[in-house]
Amino acid sequence: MIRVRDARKSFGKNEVLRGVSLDVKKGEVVVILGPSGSGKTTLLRCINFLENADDGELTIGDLSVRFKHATKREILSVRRRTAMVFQNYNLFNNKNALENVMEGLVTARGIPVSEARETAKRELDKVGLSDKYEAWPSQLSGGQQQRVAIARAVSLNPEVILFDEPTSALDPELVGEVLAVMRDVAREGITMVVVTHEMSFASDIADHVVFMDGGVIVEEGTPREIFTRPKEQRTRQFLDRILLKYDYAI
Amino acid sequence: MTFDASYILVSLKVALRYLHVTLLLSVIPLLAGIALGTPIAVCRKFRMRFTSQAAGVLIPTLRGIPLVLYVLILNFLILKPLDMLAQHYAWADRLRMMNSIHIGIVAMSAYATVTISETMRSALNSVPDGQYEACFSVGLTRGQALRRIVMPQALAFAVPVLCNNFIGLIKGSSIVYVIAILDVLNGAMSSAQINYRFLEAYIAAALIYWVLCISVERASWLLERRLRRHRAELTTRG
Ligand SMILES: Nc1ncnc2c1ncn2[C@@H]1O[C@H](COP(=O)(O)OP(=O)(O)OP(=O)(O)O)[C@@H](O)[C@H]1O
Ligand SMILES: [Mg+2]
Repeated sequence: MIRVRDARKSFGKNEVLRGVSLDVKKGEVVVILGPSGSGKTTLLRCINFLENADDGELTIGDLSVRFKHATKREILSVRRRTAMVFQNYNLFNNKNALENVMEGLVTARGIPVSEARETAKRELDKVGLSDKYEAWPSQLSGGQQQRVAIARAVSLNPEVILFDEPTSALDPELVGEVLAVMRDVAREGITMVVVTHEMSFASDIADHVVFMDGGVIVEEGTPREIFTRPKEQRTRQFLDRILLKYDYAI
Repeated sequence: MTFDASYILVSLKVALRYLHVTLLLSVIPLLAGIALGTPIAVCRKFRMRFTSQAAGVLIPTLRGIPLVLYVLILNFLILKPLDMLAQHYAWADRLRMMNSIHIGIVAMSAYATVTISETMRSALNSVPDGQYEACFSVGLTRGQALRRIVMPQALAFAVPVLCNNFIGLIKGSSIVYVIAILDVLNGAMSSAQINYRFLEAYIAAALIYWVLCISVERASWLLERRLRRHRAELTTRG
């Protein structure tokens, strides 16, 4: 269970999060929508302490921390309960696919190398990369890199995986393979928070949809509620625009 | 006096006797520069309090001072007092000679630390922030991220520059003639002092420096290839 209470974050005078509260139940898939600059990335980064929020509270399972007063130790334990999949994959450039998955298991979790290797192989197999154990990131396509990144996140068995536009940097023909892998992850019952512009995907896998704009949550509900009868004007405008742009039928 | 290539050999023989001095004056500073310059670069990268501020003022200042002044100033600051002591207690000449080599090594090391801390700083900066973020996201601490992911990548960037730094140190070490250390150049010159074959002596010294630098370059090329094998064609894709 993840709970964010009243998260606030400014960059200088730019107030990016103006009090965001979010609840994610165990096993739930929450999709965050919103126009560019609405603070979606910042929210995910605050949950992972890649960004230090100015105020608010975070609960992950039995761990509760105040953003402002989090100690190094608390930050580390939050990070070890969460995992993140980045828009630009961010695989470790000096590690091959297998080592990329093993790194967190061995170095952060202290799992023996042989056991970590088995786990890593299993996770890479699940994302369809059983023939790429030894490949360097530079030898993989964007879609393959992102699948390794997802395997890396899943292997840590975190309480939640945060996805920040995982398909936005991909060539269109590679988007499908990554979404398919994410569907599998969702089916496994792993808690996910996903920022995406893939509307049909969102409406398929989301249990809960959140629409953000201007640093606040404007509206939230089931996919059906948000996609078919949004209450707020801003939500409607956003959906119209994006559906037009991507020409998706839902 | 006509040019006589056979005197090159004569000078070479004498100069080679002091090869170890030139190597001491460049290898030790290289290692010291890496050992001291890297932590300085890390402190500045992470904006550590005090250390990074001090380094931020000191390093640019020290970088503007030529090597020969490092040697002269440190010689003045260290050797002169020692020298007086030695005279006072009537220590052997040989001891004084050793001391001046030590001074040379200290001066070259100080210079190398300043230079190499800048090399390591730009190498660290060439590793994208996303690499740190990926480390943190899987639960690595900052130290683990540095050791396991960032430093290996930074080193691959740094090797060709470190190689240039090293070549600079080898060639720069010849400056120690100002404090009368017998190195390769001074050794070759000492043979010319007897037979007046200066050009041949210069050529002999040049040959030795040339071979040293070519070898370093070759070694660096091999090392670089090894370190970079994983980034065969690392493009903007990531
Ligand atoms: N490190 C930073 N320093 C300063 N400003 C930042 C920083 N990161 C984000 N911002 C600003 O915060 C605002 C929100 O950015 P954020 O990346 O969270 O938006 P987003 O909803 O993820 O947008 P997008 O859909 O384009 O990814 C933007 O105005 C951005 O310029
Ligand atoms: Mg974003």
